[in-house]
Amino acid sequence: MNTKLVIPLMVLLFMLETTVVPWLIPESMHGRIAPHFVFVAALYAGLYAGRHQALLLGFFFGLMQDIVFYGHLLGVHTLLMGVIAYLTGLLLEGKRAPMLAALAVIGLGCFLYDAAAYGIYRIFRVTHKTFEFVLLHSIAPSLFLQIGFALAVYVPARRLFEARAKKNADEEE
Amino acid sequence: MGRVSGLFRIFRNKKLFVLLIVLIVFAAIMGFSLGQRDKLTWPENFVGDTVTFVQQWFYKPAGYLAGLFEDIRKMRDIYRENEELRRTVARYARDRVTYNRIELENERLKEALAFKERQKRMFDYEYVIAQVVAVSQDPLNPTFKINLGSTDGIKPDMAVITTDGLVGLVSRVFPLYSTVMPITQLDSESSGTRAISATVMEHKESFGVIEDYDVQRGMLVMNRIAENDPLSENDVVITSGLGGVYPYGLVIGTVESRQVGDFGLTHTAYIKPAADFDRLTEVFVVVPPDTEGAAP
Repeated sequence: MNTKLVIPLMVLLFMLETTVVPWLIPESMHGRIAPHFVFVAALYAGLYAGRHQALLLGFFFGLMQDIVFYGHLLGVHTLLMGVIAYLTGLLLEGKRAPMLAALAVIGLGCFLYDAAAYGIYRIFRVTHKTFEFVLLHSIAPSLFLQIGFALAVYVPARRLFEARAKKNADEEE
Repeated sequence: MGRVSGLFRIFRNKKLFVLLIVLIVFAAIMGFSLGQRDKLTWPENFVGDTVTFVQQWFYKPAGYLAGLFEDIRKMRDIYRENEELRRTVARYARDRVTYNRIELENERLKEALAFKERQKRMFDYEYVIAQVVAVSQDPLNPTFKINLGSTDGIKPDMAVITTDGLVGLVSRVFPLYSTVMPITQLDSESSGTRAISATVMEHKESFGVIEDYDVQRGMLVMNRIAENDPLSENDVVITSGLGGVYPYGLVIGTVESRQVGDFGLTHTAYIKPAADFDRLTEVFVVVPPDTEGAAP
């Protein structure tokens, strides 16, 4: 398992979450549940591979999301995905966090990501909804989807990223 | 003393320093990218178009599959819809005759009144069909991408409609694709969005400005309606074309309720949007006639 596999897989994940997943979300939840699968993968990279890989993956895929769906402003996802994935790596890389801890961290990371994105949009006066409303309307329901996805891919993601970290460590030695 | 030196150590920390610089740089990028931009830089164009080129291979097949299951489930609805469409077609055939007569008469009157070429072509909108190729998953930035770009003559702020009604405005234009901002993002307190000046199909003299979207109710909010305005419930709201951004005569929705506005001077109406904003597959971009290029 290596970079050659991780990056194409994450590109595929990005493609799926922007094209196929919107068709799977029930109509009543449209505009409320937002998949952040690529971000979850970046958090896994922070947990099991290393903070620098996480930073690069988060930055790269955040930039992609920002440019492709350029509506109001650029840079929100680039900054947040990069920084939050890096912080996860800084705190927990190499700790071999167990499943429940990993899920808790991913949940927290996703909440932080959505809340900070709301904060930035609020500062630039793109939205004037209240935080309570956004929290109940989209952040909370999305969180369940993210944690569900994280749980579903926990085993393959951990195997993929940990193997990668081990290989990197071997190369350094 | 120990605490103060600890504080200084934090500032001497290289990581925090870098983070601070990163924050400043990103604040600058966000501020710079916020406003109106007619042309994007080449890295943006390259990344945007390449990624969307791949996305389009996924969106449509997914839509077909989802639609297939939906169709089986909705067999009964389809019979009813068919019935309704037949009635609509009958009405259309009847209206078509009237339309032809009125159009001819209109042409003749324009000739008689010596309309200039530019004035004649003012409402000759071109409806260009576009496929939706991807949808953003950011609830606060719910743009979607269509497969027309600046090489197809698309410009920012062109109106985008479905067969039901107005959906949004073209937000950013890449060479081969563009992003569309749905009208659910209308916000009177935000700097970026443009309000829609609207009127009613039944009463030409009606006027109001749609500048907000109520997420909880799922309805557009139309403000600044005069007290003696004839607008009433179930009227069909269309764009008035007075603002210069939206073309004339696009269906927006139907009036759901009308009440006295915030300051008591004007009235406010809730408009139920005619178009469905999710699961879009085909939309039309309304291209206004190139009036600058026309002969005087």
